[in-house]
Amino acid sequence: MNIALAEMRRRRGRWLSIVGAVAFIVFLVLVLAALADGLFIGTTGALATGDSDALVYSIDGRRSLVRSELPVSAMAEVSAVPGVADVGALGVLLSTGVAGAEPFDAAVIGHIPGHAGEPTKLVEGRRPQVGEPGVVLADSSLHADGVSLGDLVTIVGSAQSLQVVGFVEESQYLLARSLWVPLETWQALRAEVRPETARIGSVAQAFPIVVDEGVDVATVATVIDDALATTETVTTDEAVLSLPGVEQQQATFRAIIAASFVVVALVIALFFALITLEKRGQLAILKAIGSPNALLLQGVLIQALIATTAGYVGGFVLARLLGFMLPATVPVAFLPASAVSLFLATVAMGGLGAAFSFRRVIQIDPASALGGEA
Amino acid sequence: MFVDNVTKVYGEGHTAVRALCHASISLQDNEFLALVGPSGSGKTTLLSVIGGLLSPTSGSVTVGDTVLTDLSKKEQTRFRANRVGFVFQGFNLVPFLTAKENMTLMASISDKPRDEINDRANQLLEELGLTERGDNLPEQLSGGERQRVAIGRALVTDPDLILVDEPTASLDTELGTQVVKLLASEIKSRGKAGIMVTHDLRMVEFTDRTVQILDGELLDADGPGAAG
Repeated sequence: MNIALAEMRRRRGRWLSIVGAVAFIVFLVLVLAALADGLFIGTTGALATGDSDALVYSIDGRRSLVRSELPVSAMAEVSAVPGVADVGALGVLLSTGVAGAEPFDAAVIGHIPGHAGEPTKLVEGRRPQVGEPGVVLADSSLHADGVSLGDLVTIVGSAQSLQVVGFVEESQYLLARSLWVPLETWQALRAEVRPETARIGSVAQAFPIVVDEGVDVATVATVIDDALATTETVTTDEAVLSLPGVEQQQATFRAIIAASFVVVALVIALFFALITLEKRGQLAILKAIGSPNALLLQGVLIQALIATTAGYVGGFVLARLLGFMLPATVPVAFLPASAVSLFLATVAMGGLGAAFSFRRVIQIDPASALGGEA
Repeated sequence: MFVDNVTKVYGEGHTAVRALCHASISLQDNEFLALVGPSGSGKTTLLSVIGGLLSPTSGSVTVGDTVLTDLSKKEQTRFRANRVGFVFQGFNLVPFLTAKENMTLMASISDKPRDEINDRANQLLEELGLTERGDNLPEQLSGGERQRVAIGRALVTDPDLILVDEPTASLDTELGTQVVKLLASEIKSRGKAGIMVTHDLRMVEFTDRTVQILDGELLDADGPGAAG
């Protein structure tokens, strides 16, 4: 028989109150985390989904796809750098797409099918072929809006129609729906929709690269930049964080989530401080009859871990229910990795909160059990 | 059990209070002793020192072959768990444990095997007339039943020494008498040594010997037979 468990079982009302309090904070944290992840994926998906190790920008592009411009001919020089396993090309055109009668914010992304930078999470249909005209691989969020395989999508300002041949998920760019087209299609669309950006020769805006296994990405990046002299090569993670507002957005959510965890620790600490005070006499009796401090502290810790775990489960269920009820326009993503890390953080905060009572428990004098003091 | 020249002083210098003054007492197995005295006389302090709950300023306490005052705090805790049974003033049962669990919780605390504690708890419940009440929580028990559970908890580890603190403080005379009689019977039938602190002189007739304490000094404490 475990005294701590028996107490929780027989005094459910009291423990449900703390479990409820933790559940509501966890609910808040999980919704915030889902919004943070949803925003992050919606903003950065196009770069993050590309399965590349690094991106090569023009040096004056300052790590921005929109500002960067590179001649496609430079791909050969990048490819020749030792350690580079594959090179692709990316170009982005932010515009308005129309599917049926509905306009939407679109990011037309030119890429080289079968090479680095290509979106990896194909959920339906097929990928375009290299240089295949008039086809598009669309973000799966368009599918949710009623767009199907074979439907036609047009870009405002362009006369050509693109037929949807497949859907990929988590591939948005700056919260705009991505339309992945072969690089040549992108170049033609760009010249048509944004004639002021027309350049002589074939251009792209960045070269995503994959390095050989075991090769240091930073070292390869340095060699590329030294060889081309006009490029800045950064890891994909750095490129993702260089997107406008991403780092600030992440920092803001992290700060709110961290503050919420402090509240979890404080709630648990306050709860255990109160019940330790209330159980002072009972703890003195247990110490007097021979309970070592370790046994009592173990009980406090077990109770804190169970309360926070149950609170987490409650908060998780509530957050998921809310997730199902939110409209598709709200960018939320419940990622298993976030759920696991937040669970561990919740339990750790529960343990930390309970640890504040340890000193009080240790300080209880077993001699106070005699003389009617307990 | 031997208490040899024990002195306990609280505080230092001008604020020092002498709670026990050169107290010496011995207790045999199969002996139940009443420690009586007015409030503040030092009887609870002496019981605490004998039970290893409080360290004396000087002197020693020996139980069987163990010099309790030579043990570390941790060893004293273990000693209490295995060799001392306490019956506290009031009922002082764990409120969320059943009558039987209040006894078997000692399996988590002492070094005695769980099965042995469980068997003894069942036996004690029967002896104490609590067989039907084993699954009841303390709040569902009468005052007398709770005190009997407390006695059972003190005996369940088969300790060498039973220390009883004001067992009748919250009971009426009839119930108090029943409880002390039961305590005396349980202690004597098991051949244990027992000390009961009480200010109720009507209860001393159920003990083998009475020792008075006044201002920290023991009176009539010179060995067995000095019955009060």
